[in-house]
Amino acid sequence: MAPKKNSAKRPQPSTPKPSAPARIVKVQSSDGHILQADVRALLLSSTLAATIKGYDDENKPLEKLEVNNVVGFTLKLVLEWCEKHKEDDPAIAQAEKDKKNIFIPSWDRHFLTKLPMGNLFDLITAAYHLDITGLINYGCKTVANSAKGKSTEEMRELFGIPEPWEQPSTSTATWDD
Amino acid sequence: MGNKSSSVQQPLDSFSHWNDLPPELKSACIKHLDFKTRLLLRSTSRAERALVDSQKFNLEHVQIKGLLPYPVNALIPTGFDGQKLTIVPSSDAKTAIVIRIRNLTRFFETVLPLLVFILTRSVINEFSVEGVVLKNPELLFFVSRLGPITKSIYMDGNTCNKFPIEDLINNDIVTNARMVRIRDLTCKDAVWKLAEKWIENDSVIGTTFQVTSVHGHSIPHFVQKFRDRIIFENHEEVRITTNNPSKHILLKLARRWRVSRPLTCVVISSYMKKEEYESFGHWVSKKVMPIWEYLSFVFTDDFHEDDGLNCYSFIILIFHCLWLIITLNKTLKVNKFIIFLEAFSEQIPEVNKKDDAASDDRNTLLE
Repeated sequence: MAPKKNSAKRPQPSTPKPSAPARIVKVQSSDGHILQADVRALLLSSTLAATIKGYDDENKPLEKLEVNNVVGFTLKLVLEWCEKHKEDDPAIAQAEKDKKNIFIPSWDRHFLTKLPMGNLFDLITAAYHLDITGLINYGCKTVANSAKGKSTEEMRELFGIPEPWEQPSTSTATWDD
Repeated sequence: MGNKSSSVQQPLDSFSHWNDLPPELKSACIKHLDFKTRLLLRSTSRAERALVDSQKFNLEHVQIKGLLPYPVNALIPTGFDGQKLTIVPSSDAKTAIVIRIRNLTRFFETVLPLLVFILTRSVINEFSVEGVVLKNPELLFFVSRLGPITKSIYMDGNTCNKFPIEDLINNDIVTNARMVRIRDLTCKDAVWKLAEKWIENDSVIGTTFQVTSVHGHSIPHFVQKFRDRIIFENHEEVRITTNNPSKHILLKLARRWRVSRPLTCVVISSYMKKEEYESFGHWVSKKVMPIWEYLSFVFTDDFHEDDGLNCYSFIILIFHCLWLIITLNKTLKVNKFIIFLEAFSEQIPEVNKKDDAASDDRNTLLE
């Protein structure tokens, strides 16, 4: 990895907008945990942004958002990431979506690499359900980085891929067909 | 801020595995994998293999090369049992993967499936086959599987009369490549036939064909074929028009060696001046000098600085060959050794015939 080289190519985040008063809403996870988050952070999720927009269009008071497919622990991680990136320009994440080599900023690298692989899978799955492009990009890149240099067996262990004899298919062939 | 309202503990049952990820996410992760990791992940399970195979990836350079260095491999051509496969996934040379193949079993069990995977699933920028006697259908097997994006193709004719140049010229991947280089080609008509294809396809400016051969008939044949298109002609350069007024085709003798005639044929802008293509012969170096050039010193006493090599080069070559003979692995075929010795006993023309005969048994290698 060459962060310095890539960082030069990476589009710079737009200058932070003048800070408007934070609008806090409650977010409920699938297991009933209630968390609080700034709406600007939630807008990074296309799914939640659509819901919030629906409330705003109908002038309904937004008190609580329900996220039915993410558990509390993972939702907390998602909201922590969104909070950190709420000032980011969404165009950056979109631009990086199709790139193979993306640079992971140091905060994100630290945030994602400290997670056990299972939690990381949970996190990117949650990001996928909530459609948070930036988190999907960094999460998938972190998964790919963690597999680098591993042997087949080590990769099986890291990713929890069952051994060939534990898999539904009866064939163990890998090369020959 | 935010999420401080309750203490959220990690639930024990939320531990996900790779197999729990949606296929889209798996693909997004695979997209970021380097070539080697991708290959290893591919061998963990059938599902992963299918996922990896569903994505195209880029390779900078793929080279199949005889284990013996050029030009020795022109005398001792290797088959699939004595070659190395070099895969350079990115522009960083440190990422290169080199696989040495010293027997056919290893080739068929490991390398051929790997090659099929590479050729069918990757977009290769440069592809080269050197120092390996490949004939129809072996060479076409590789070339026809290259993607249309392949910019450069390097091949070795090995002065083999059965080199499938006709089939290659009729292959769109070869005619559309920006650079085609064939070393030691015996066919006299390859240049004009490829130029004819370029005219037909209105190939882009810069499309280049570089070839070294052991005869000087390519330019007269080219002139004869395109007589009505000629703008300029002498014994070293021919410039012709194409159907597109903004493009010309230039055939230039890149260097005049003792026996071989390296040529450059390139699509140029019709506005290009003569001074601008003086450098078109710079690709010719000792690295592409055919063995016949070295051997020509056996029969002559006078050496010129202009020759690019001298008697010392020849002596070094002899020592190099001796060292190779000593260190060659046990799989070296006796008949190849005889061919090598015969070449030094002034029976050079015989080499080609035996060359072909020795490699006849490889005809059905990939069938």
